[in-house]
Amino acid sequence: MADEQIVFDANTEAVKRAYASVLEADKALLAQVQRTIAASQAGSKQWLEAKTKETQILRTIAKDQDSLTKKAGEFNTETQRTEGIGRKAFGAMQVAIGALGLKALLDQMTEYRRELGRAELAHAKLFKPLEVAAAGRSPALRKAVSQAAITAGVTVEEAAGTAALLMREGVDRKEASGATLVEALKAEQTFGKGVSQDIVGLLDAQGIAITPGNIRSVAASMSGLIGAGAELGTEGLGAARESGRVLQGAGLDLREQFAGIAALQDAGRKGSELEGIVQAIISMEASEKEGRELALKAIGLKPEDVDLAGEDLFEALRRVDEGITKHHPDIREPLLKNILGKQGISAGGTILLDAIRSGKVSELVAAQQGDAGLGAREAAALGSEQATENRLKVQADLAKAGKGGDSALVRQSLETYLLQKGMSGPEITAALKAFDVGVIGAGPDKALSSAFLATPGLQRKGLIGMGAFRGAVLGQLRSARESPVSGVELGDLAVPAGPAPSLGEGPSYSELVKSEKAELVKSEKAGSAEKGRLDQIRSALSFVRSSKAAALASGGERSEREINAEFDPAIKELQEQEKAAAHKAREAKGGGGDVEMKDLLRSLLKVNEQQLERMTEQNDHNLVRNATSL
Amino acid sequence: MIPLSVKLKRLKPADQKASEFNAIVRDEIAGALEEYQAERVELHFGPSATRRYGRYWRNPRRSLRYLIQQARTAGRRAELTELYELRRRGLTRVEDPSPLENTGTTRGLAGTGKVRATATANKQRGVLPLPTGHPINPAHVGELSTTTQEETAAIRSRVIAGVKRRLKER
Repeated sequence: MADEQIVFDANTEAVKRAYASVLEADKALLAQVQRTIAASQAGSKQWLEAKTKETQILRTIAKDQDSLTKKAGEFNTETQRTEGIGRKAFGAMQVAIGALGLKALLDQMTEYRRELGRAELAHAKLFKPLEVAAAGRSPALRKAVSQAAITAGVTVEEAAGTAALLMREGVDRKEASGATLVEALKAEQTFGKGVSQDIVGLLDAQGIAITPGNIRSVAASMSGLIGAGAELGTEGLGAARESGRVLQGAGLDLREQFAGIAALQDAGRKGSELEGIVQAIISMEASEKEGRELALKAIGLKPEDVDLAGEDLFEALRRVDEGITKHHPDIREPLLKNILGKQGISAGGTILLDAIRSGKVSELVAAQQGDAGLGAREAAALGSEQATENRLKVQADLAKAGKGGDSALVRQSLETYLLQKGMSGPEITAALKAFDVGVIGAGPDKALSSAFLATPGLQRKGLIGMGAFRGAVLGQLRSARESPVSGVELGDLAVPAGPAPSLGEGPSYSELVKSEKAELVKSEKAGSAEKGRLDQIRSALSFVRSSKAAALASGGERSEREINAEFDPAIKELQEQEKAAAHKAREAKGGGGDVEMKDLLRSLLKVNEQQLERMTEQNDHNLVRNATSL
Repeated sequence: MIPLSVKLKRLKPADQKASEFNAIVRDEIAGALEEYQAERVELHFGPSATRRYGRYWRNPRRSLRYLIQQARTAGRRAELTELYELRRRGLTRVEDPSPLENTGTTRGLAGTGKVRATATANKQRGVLPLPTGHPINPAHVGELSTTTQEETAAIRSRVIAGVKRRLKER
């Protein structure tokens, strides 16, 4: 019996290619995984930055490959269709290939640039908040911000918020806590809250560098405008920020922009309408163009005279005004309507024209020159009661949170030490006074030095050097912390009768280590106690919430508003307590900096894993795409 | 989120990967042919299958009449002579033979063959046997087993889709 059989043979070369692509994809994946693990272990930020960009570029290339493959597929189809047509058609096809390739190349380049820009933006969005948050934990920065707050007489919170804003806008960290911050805070103190944000946004939008001088010049402009009776305000700054690019294109510098906006605002219009006038002149509808040319001819001008190329907006309007005043008042209005168009008229073109004619705009520009009364305004604002109050509060906070721990405890320890040394009353008072003065700017550690210098009795006796003195006072503080008795009053302390302690007296290294360990154990215990409290608060909160939900569900005679009024205050209070307790628990657990660093690293790792996930998806996609030629 | 350790475990040595890949290709070829066998093969053996499905190009069966026409090179006279000669031999009427697949035997056996498939680095082949139940004229061998272009393309795309899916599930 002779049977037949159907034989299906695959294209071996294509299968080999597909398998090679599988191997390649796996290899790439392995490399990526290994790199990611290494980077995760190192927690290196720089690596992550580079990786983000690399991934973006890889994605771009994959996208380009996609589009090229698609185009190649189209081309193949086309070739099959035209195969029978002949040599002539083939020549035409070759031309088409050239064009197609060129276009693909151009598309690729454009897309690549766009993608690179997008990647940078995404990168900035991802890392800026982290950087700002990390910077906020630096003691040096905190100190610098506090100093700026003292100078400007604002609270630390306001100063920190402004510093974070400046850093987000890309200002150098040193500058954002130094001179630039001081200027921004001064502007805020002088012209009201939120102004610094507007000024920074304005400078950023107009492409002007955010420097102390530039911030000050904007503030001077605001001061000058107030002096001239036309307040710019937050709204005006916002208008300049939004339409800044267009106005720059119309040949107006910052002061002229302010003058135009202020003139419009003074007449009861919105400052943002200045942009509308410029738009009306630049981009006129085709249907209106003819009428405009005729009207310009009637007043002896050409379209080139008022197209804002070579002359600024005010100059163009001045020319129009001069031309129009030659005509009879009755036809001035229709002429103007033709020249500025409907849009220009409705945007307040006539009002601006009036302001230019009356010289108000020039006055406003002139009023912004120089200091423009900013110094006097600032002096008044910085010397206000509120500013002084803020200043004192910041100074007190700074004294508390100085280097070397709680300054009050150090002060107590100093007092005890001096009593033990048998110093006289006036001498102890003088030393404590010196300590109090020194602690404000420099912290308790350095304040101890000034206290030492202020007690000549101690130096005269030649008992102890400055370093040893500091060590002794702080060591005493540590031993006092270790001792089980706490809250000892000064009066309870017995003055030792024996000989004075020897030179350089203080705890040995092993004692120090022991004390540190004890402190650590204590803080851990405190942490667990705080956590217990946190749990209590949370359970109470959930109980109140569930009661509220039950009350809402059962309904009854009470309305929703009544139920809300009953439960919401309790919930709010509990939420606040929870927040405070959580903060305390966090502080008690890891002791500040370490925990924050851990959080930061953890967030970085999370980002890493997400990236890996995305890369893997991309990899699978490529792999399957390569296998389609089977 | 997939843990990193799992990702690492996925990656295997090259030879193991190659054999797995070949297994995928082999399975998919066999699957495609089985599908083809179950859904299509039997239809091709029905009456007027040639017109419906347009496959199995038959080789031209040379009829006696055709042979005679070929022999008519010497004009009408020679033709007639030959014709008379044939008639005298009793061969008066000649018919085209009917196709083999319409006999019924072949149709009954269609789809009973077992599909075999192999895939190595250098050869990937699937075989679908077509039992006939009777001998086949050597001149007509290959008629049944020739697939049309459309059907080859269908099998091919089925294999590609299967391999793609399996690679994605990997």
